[in-house]
Amino acid sequence: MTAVTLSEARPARLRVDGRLGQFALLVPALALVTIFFALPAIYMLRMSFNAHEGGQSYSEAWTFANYLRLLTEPIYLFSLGKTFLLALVTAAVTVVFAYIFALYLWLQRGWHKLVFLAIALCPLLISEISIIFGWWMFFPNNGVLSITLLQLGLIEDKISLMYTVFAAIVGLTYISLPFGIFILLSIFDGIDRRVLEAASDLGAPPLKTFAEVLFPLTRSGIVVAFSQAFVWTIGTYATPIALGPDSLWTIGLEIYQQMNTWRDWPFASALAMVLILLVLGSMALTRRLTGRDVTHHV
Amino acid sequence: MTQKKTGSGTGKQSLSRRRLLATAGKGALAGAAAVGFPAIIGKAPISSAKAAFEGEQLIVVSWSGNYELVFREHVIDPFNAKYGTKAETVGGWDQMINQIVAAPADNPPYDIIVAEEFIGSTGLAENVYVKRDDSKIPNLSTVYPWFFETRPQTATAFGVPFGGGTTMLLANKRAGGVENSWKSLWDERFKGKVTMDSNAFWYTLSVPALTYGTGISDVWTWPDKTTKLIEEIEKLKIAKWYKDGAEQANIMLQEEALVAMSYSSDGYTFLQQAPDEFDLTVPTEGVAAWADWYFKIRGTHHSELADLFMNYLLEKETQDRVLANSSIFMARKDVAVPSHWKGYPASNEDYHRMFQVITMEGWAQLLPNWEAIDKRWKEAVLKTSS
Repeated sequence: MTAVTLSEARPARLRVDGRLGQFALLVPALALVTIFFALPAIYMLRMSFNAHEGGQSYSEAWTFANYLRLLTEPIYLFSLGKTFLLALVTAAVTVVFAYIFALYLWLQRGWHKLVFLAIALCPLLISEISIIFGWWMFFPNNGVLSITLLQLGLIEDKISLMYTVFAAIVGLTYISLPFGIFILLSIFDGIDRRVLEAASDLGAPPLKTFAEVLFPLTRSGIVVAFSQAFVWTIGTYATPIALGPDSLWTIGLEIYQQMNTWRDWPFASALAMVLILLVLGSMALTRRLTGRDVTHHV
Repeated sequence: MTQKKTGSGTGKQSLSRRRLLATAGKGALAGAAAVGFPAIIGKAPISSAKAAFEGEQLIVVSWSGNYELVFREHVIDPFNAKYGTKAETVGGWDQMINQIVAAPADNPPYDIIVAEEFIGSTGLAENVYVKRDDSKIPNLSTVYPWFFETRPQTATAFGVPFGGGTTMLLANKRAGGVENSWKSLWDERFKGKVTMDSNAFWYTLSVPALTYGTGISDVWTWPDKTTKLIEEIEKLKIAKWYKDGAEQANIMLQEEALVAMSYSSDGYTFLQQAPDEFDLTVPTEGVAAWADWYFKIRGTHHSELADLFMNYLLEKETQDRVLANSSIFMARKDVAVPSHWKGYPASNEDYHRMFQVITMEGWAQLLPNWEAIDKRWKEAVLKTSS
């Protein structure tokens, strides 16, 4: 009887220990997230309700004026809209190129695969500023592209693609591409290649195999890669400023200027909070679209 | 005898202990006076100042870009060589005051920062500067009064003037026959081939203020006069607005633009690196200028070394070296003017005549209208973009 009681009690104690143990394991990560992300975000949220007056960076207040200004001034809505659109297009372009590259990588074997993996890693080894300087050598009138096209006889006069939306999207895509490639590659690596052979054996042409077998299997990766590129692009400002036209000022640049040049900390915080909401919205949408299957691979 | 000896002995011992302590105290004071104190007032023999500050660190913020390079090479390195210190310079711009305000008051990220009228004003508003002790900066007597006459009395109690910069007209020689006037920027030939600063737009607005307006005060006379200046800017067709020196260099070197409103430090780099390709001139209408002051930051742990450094900034050798390697103007009256600096001001009157400053009083009028001007400025940038 006693023995039975003990044996019944033991798993119960273990369950409690297990929960405590799980929680204990979470504590370091929770502490890091709380200290370095949650607290600054809460501080920023509070700052966004302060006022900016008297030449100081902020004065204590509780006001919605900053949010009202953001939502009623066309110039900030314009900036927000441009940033959103730029992020959407860049994310779409990134996913297309990342998908093709990842698919190609997945189909390769041996040293060939290693070489292409190294190529995919290259942009991650260079700082964003260095990459920008590289494009500055590539796109202008006297840049590599213009001179090459001229020497090949494809154009009659020098051309410049600098300071165009195209240049900004190319620059942003180049930076976000490796992340997209590795997200999608991890999805591809989780697929049994024999399903392609099976589809082929059953008479499906390559395009149909792609549309009805491969694409549905990689859909979650596409959504995550898109979301990652979107989140990264929406907060950036160096590349669009350096490569894009004057009209392409992003919300990131607006935050920088409000914070440092105008020293309007409350309004900069309000802009940052809106940006965070956009990112959270994007992540929630990703979660909804991918469901649970994405966690198996990414 | 024994008692006497003993008493005497005890008395001697006790006396010698007191004397020893007193002598040690005086010795320490004298030592400190000999080693450290003269160094602080800037009259120290180099050897004693070196002993006092050897190995001590000092973080000085100078403007970024070419200015920072010149400052490091011709101010920081010679200072360290002279005093055995570990002073270093880091680049900075409008983020400096935010970083100081955000840091603990007794542990600022910098010991000394450079500031012109705008950052000078914001730093004063945030109370981050330490008042200057004139007795520790004897070289202050060598400075042109212009530096003190162009800012409010209350502000002159902080920091030391070092020099200043100006806007300048930069033209690619391939543009051919660019008139030495700001009006060249409005020349039909250069439509779509002009670049100007969209970030520090107050200096950009100084160009139409000096060319078509009633003077630099138009920049801060919002809305009437400032709006007129913006309307003049809107008549331009800009190849690309630049936001920093690196972007300006790229735009000019890649010939996206042929003429530019530049700044003295950036312009000097063009002259040094491509003298056959660019002309850098002071237009006949005059130029907007700013004065670079170096401020000691409250809470610094290196207050005495900071004073020594601020006095060093005004040494003749320091000022001569920097002037020989830049296009800025200096604070000292007796500098050796290099051949590349044509028409360098020779008197305090020249300073007043040549350099139009967006003064601290001007900033006091500009800042309350910042939001409205910024909004209007953005519209102008959109209108003028190619």
